[in-house]
Amino acid sequence: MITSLKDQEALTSTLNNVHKSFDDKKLTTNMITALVANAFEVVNTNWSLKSFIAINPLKGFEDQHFFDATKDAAKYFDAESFFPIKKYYDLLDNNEINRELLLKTIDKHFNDIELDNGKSLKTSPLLLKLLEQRVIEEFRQKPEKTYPYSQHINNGRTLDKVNNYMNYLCAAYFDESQATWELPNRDQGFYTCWKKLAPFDDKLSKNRKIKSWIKMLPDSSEKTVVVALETLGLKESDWDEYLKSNLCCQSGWSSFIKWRELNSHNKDFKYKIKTTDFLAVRLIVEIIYLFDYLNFKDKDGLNDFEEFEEQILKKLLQEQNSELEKYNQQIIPDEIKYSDKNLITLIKKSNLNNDVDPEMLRDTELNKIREVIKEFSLRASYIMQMSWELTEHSILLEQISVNQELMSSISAQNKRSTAQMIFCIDVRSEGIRRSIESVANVETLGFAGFFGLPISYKTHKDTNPQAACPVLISPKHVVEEHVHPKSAEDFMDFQINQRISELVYKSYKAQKNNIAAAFIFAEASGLIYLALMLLKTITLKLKLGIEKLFPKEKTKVHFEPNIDLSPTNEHGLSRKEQAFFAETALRLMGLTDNFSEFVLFTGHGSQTENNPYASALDCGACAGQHGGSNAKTLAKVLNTPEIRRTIADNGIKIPDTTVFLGAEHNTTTDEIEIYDIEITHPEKIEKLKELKANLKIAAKLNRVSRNSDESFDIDDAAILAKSIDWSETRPEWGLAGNMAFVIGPRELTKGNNLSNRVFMHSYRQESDPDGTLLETIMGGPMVVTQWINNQYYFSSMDIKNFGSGSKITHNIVGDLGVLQGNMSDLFTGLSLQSVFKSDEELFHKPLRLRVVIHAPYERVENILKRNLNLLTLFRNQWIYLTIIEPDTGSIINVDNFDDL
Amino acid sequence: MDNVFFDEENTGLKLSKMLKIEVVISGENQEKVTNMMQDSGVTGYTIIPNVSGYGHSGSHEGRLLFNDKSSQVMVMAVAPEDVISNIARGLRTLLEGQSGVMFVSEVSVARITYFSGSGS
Repeated sequence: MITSLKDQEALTSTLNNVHKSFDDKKLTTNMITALVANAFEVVNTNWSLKSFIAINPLKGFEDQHFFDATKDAAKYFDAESFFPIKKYYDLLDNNEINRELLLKTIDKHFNDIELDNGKSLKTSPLLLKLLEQRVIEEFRQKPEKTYPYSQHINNGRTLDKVNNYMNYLCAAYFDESQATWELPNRDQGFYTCWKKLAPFDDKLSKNRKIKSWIKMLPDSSEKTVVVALETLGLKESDWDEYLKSNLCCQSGWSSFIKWRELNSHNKDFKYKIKTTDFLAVRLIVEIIYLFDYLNFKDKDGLNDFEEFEEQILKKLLQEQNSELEKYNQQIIPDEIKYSDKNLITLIKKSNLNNDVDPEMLRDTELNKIREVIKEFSLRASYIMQMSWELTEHSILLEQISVNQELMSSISAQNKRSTAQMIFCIDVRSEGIRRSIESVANVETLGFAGFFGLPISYKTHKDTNPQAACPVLISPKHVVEEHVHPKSAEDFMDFQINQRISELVYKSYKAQKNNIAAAFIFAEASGLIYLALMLLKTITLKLKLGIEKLFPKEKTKVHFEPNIDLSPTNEHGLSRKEQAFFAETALRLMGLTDNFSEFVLFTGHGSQTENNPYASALDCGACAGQHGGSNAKTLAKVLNTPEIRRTIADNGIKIPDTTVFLGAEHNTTTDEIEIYDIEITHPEKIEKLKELKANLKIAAKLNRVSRNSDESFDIDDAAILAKSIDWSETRPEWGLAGNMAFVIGPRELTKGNNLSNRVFMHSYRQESDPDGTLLETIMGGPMVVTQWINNQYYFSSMDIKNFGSGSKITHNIVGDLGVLQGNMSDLFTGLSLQSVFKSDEELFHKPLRLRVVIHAPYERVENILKRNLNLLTLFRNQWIYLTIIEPDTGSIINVDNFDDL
Repeated sequence: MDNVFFDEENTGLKLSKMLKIEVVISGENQEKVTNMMQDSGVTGYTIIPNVSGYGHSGSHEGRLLFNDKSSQVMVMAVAPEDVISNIARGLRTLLEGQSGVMFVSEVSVARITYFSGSGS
């Protein structure tokens, strides 16, 4: 009963009862914290824009089968996880879905029908026929869901009011010094900050009784959550679902707050928030708007609160009935459509079992077939999606199969390369690796782009160190960079220049934000900005031309990671730790002998202008940062003689002539910058010069190759211009297209154009008999690729719910995220321009990831047996598994995990 | 709770009874558990990362070098009964939504002042 909303007395009495429950220890703060933590499982964790991390938006549902999780996505977020069936029909017509594979998939999921004469009837040909004739209409089965009460009031406008209020409050609370007038009391936490302000906020309520009630609310947000739930008259068993339903109404901010609470130790976050704070405020705001509405507005003709509650229940029931009706309407016509005669004709056409005469089928048997059709219509899109995935994957597997047969000869061709370049597993490395291999005698390898270093990195610009490793790992060390000894003199000039630009920026900001000065400033500077904007727009190619003619002198100041712990450096790693990380990295990438003269650890980063999503294009393995710093760090470690001696004792002998270098691949322009300041030997300088020239050619090759299938201009200058064009919404395609992860030697994929669609991790199965290295790759990098894949999958399937919509209408809020329009929930996921070629046409093909592992079956099986979290991903079909048996070369698609 | 059950005169040991709570939970939830313990007033806790074992849903024996969120951790704390009871009630709710197990047992400690912080 929500009679507590009747008047102030009822509100106060509920409040007192809650205090008593806590005093009597019937309820505890811990219990409510746990309740809220469980409710927050419904949303994912949403990183801020500064360090955008791709994550499965349905991560909280990964313990379920993929298909069941998509039903929950529909239930909680009203989100689509598959294409409309018509789109699959088009794919089938265009042969992008292989009929044979489709038939096999249907066969696997739909059992034969037992006939009365003991024979069995295969239904898959009939179902395939129905798809070919485009007659199956799919109905999305949506489980029941509780909605917040406010959704049922005033045609949902009360819920909109709650959402709006919370959107404004969150934006103001998380503002990072962009607002001139800040929200007061933020240092006391979200709940207290709001509680102190709310009684003065007429936008919330002008009712004096409500204001005094707010003042009476408990100081702890946990107690307030209970006050709210009790006031709304909810049974304890319904609390979890009610909290979840509230979070789903504002899933963007909810998931961001979940992330902020998890990272509350981060020194960059000045103002803390607890998930309970957010829910407490949200629920109280809902109560206030409900109270106001019910007390002072026309309550849709309602006389009392009992009637209101009844109305809500009635409405809920109506909604459920209309869903049911919709379901029946879509299914019943099938019954009519497939009259006995029609059905028999269909069966005849679809060549079911030859030894069954369709005319002889009895009514009961025909009904059984109808049942199968009904059941099929509930899953048709999923079946089509699976078949599409199998079709696309089979093309890659065929290429791998050819390579596998020729593997020994491909390996034999490998002469000692002039350099070895280790790239991130990122799909964008595939193209540049292929291009480099085609123009230079360079061996390329794939490895997680953080190069195995669980570190935070502090550049000269950072106030606090930034995590530079995957979010699956907590950084365990800090590496700080310092100015290179050679540049010490230039450093002074550099600092002065930096100070000047800081001052200019500060004064610009002060002018802009000052109430009096702002108008004059706008008048005075408007024309200058207009001129700058025009110049920026029309002179892109000119700028590129000038740069080509007169290459910009690179900055004279170089920074280096300070890796050693010392009395003067509290950050860094001990020599023992350095040796451990270096050796592990080399073993994991399979680089333990045959070292070239140059070994380049090549991180990556993007280069874009005016792009709030820039970090989404950077290295995910480095927590959304550029990967060059980690590359530099590992190179420096491996150039240390003491480290080389230590790892030589463990069997990895690195020749004295080998030099390790850090480098960074610019994924927008494909240029590769090598950090070679320490190379002084003239012969080495000369060799590096040659390598750099080849990398330049490879960069151009790859730029053109990866842009050639676009409908855009493929003029090289135009591609380069994307990186400096402030109006470019698609500077590069990021990880779009990803669909497989190959763990094995390069020979498996070498020579094939995989169109930047495959993650690749080097792995030499012969040097890992106990599977430790493979387990590390599957436990870390594989999980990350699954997140990325799911992020792209769901953003493509439903750009509104899982993605962030179009960049054109984005409004950035405090570097945290984007809103659509003036004010909205925080949008998560990828933008439309990251996955769509145009407003209608997808660029990314949403396909679940296939993991291809070159290792004995038994080894993979053992790893899955002891890692439930990995097994769950395969068993629940979040990803597919293919094993290539090294001895026999057989390719095994594993789809049954029941025995594990 | 400061029952002496060893013969102090002979052993020279004065042991006092306390309760111990042990939780095995996914690494992702480690902080939720430790926060809960701290909020309840424990004076300390111990974390054993990457623990192995077999449970309701299967095996967790992973050696995941590049993933400390998916592996299982064990968190344990020793405190007076009221503190442990407070933690246990919170954990029971948490374990309704997450997989994991908890055990509460009686232990003896030599320095009682080490473990009797102020319960909240």
